[in-house]
Amino acid sequence: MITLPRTPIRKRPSLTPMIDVVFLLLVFFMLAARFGTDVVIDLTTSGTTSPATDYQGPPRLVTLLGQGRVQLNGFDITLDDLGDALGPLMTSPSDAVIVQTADRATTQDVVDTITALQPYGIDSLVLVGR
Amino acid sequence: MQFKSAPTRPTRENIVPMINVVFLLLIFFLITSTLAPRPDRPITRPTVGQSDRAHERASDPNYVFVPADGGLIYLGADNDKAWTRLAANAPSPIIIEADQALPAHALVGILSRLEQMGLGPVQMVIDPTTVPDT
Repeated sequence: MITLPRTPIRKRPSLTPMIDVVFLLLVFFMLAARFGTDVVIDLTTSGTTSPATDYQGPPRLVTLLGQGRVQLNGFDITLDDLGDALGPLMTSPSDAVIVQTADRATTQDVVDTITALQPYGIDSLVLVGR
Repeated sequence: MQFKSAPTRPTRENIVPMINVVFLLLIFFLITSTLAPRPDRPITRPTVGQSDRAHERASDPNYVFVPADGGLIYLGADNDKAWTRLAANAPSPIIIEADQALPAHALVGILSRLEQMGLGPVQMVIDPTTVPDT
């Protein structure tokens, strides 16, 4: 009697390990990814550290003393009044304004000053350290 | 007498559609995400109220990080190495993420050095208390 070899039954490969790996990758990318947008302000004005044009007009020295204290030409002033007070000292909004930072002034003070002067069109700030 | 037919063995769930969806999600995250090396020190961004000067931009992994102690971190490198990488890459614009408590003179020093290197324009990441319209 002739015995024929049994045809082997093909087993489907198991998908479970691959799914495990793909899930791990998915979880990794979901946790590690950064999405969305950030809000930025321009720091480079027409004169961040050196004025684009020669300084003209009366002195415009804004001193940031830190903790929200600001002086204009040596006199205390609030940030809200700074734009109005600078107006008579400028011939045009593009005139340079010197912003001096004292030891206790922080980046937050600089950003506050930039954004406080922005509605007045004043963006030629010359930042100088003490 | 009639007997209930024996319950049929439940058929296995077809998992192929699920695998398809998971693959699509994986590809989506692979393409849309940016893997950014974050500095080991926490950075609290300066806050800004409503300002027309602020505008949104897509998150970028190549920020220049400046923690409150004044060190510079760029692409995972610190200080001198960071400056070297910055000079080699010369990104434009340069996005600075500085701590709000960073001394202003340190920020001025970084800005003037960037200007001396001919790098710019410079933008700073802020934390808007109200999201600008633009």
